[in-house]
Amino acid sequence: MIIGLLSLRGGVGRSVLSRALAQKFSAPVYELEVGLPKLWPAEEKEKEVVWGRLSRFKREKCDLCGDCVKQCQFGALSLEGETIKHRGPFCHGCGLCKEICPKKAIELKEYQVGEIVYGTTDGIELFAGRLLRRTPLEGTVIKKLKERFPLPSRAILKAPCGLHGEALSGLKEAEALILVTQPWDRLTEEIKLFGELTQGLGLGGMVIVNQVREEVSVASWCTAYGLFYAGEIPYLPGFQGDLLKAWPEGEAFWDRVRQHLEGGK
Amino acid sequence: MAEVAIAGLPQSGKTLFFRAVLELRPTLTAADARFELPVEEGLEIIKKEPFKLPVPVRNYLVCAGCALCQKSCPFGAIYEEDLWIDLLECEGCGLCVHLCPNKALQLANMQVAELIEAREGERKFFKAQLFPGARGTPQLVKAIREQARKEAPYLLDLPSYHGKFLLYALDGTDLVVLFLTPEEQAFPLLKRVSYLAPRARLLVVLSRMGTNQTVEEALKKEISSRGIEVLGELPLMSEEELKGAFQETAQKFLALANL
Ligand code: SF4
Ligand code: SF4
Ligand code: SF4
Ligand code: SF4
Repeated sequence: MIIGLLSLRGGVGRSVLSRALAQKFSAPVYELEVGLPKLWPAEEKEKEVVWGRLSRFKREKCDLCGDCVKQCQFGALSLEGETIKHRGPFCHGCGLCKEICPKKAIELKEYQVGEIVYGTTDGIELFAGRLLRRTPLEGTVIKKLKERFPLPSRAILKAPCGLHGEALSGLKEAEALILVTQPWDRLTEEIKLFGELTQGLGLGGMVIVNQVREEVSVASWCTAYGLFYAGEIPYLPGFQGDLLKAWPEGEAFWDRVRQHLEGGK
Repeated sequence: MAEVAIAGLPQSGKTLFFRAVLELRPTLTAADARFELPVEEGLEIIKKEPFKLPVPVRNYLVCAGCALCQKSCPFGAIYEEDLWIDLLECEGCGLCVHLCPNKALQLANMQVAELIEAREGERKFFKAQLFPGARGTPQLVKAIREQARKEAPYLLDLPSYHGKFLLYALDGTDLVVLFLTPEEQAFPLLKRVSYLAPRARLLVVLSRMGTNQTVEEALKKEISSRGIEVLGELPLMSEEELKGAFQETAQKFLALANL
């Protein structure tokens, strides 16, 4: 079972949950938050550079006709005085400018756009990617990660924060989605949105509420939106790292999660 | 300072700070780059506008099935089996449209969100509502900023999503208030923000301090070696305590930012 782990807001416990789920399911974690990865193996076993294409100008050939500037969909080019300004971090390397330039003044070059790594942290297998700051090629890094380290039949995909298409785009292979959240004033709206999303994607959805101080009653909300409510994880003061150790009373909760995810299969 | 953004790590209280500043300046324009949930109560919607992204559309009557588009898509967004274009992968670059020998492809505009102009008391508030699961956050934050710029100065609150979205959120800003907590991620984020907003003045707020001494020391060293100003330093506190503490930080910020 490939599980996608999502959250609307940051800092609600995706990293901690992904580690706990990895332990419970003996599955590796894929860190897809490549813009700012939180999970990175303590012990790196393999590492690779990710290359991507970006455009480069040969100024001596350019006659400043401005065609490329008009066509670039990403605002990476502008005509400034006597020169074409190439705004590196915006270039997606699509090569459209190269195709349309009548003077053949543009070429595509391979640059280092990120890195991917495989390793372990406390015995958990971790595959992570990192985007270099000078490029927007998030998708390239995620694709390379999955290509170089193909997904096994069980895996946890940890998405970046948000319930938008950018966060979802790395979860294609997911067979079920889990929303991690915390009690807050818009919890029911969040659940509703997640329900709509999972229905739209035709996937099963599960909700976990983390860091609960006072009981939240959202089980019926979840059911109403076709979601499975796994239950709540209590607020554990001063807790860092290993959720299974910090919350030994959680056995029943984990059993429920496991049963739901594996029962259907 | 016309364009001011609040960015940072999660659980740092940055949205509480955003609210604290707005309370002190009832006319300051605000913008929010969280697009998933409907507009909060308390905001009076003045205008809604469709927001569209360019996507390729194929005319099957003239498509010869040559698969050139599929082979040349730089983002692998077109499926080999049936030439179907996956809109979650497509970046809308238009290369396939340009290359198709039969002119079977065209860039069309697909609505993915609503741009929202709202009022909160005397203030203008710019937001957007994304259709469930739609992509387009980089383009949306750019569009929202374009609108808010007309009512500048404005204060933009950013989510803790640091994909390429951040590039569009910070490009050309005049001032960034960066909220950091003592975590390893603080270092790459600091570097990335300085890189993406090179001409912006950077103010750092250190939050949840006193929880990881080694990282805190290294972080402070890094900040001072880059010559970055620290706007405030706060220990780990409850939400209520943070609200109180931000009164002072917000005052100081308004004076520094000349707002
Ligand atoms: S390669 Fe694509 S994104 Fe880069 S400058 Fe050319 S048209 Fe723009
Ligand atoms: S299309 Fe070619 S010649 Fe024209 S401005 Fe761009 S780089 Fe220069
Ligand atoms: S390049 Fe044009 S003609 Fe060829 S498969 Fe694509 S859309 Fe059809
Ligand atoms: S517009 Fe660009 S990314 Fe989208 S399908 Fe065409 S070539 Fe691929």
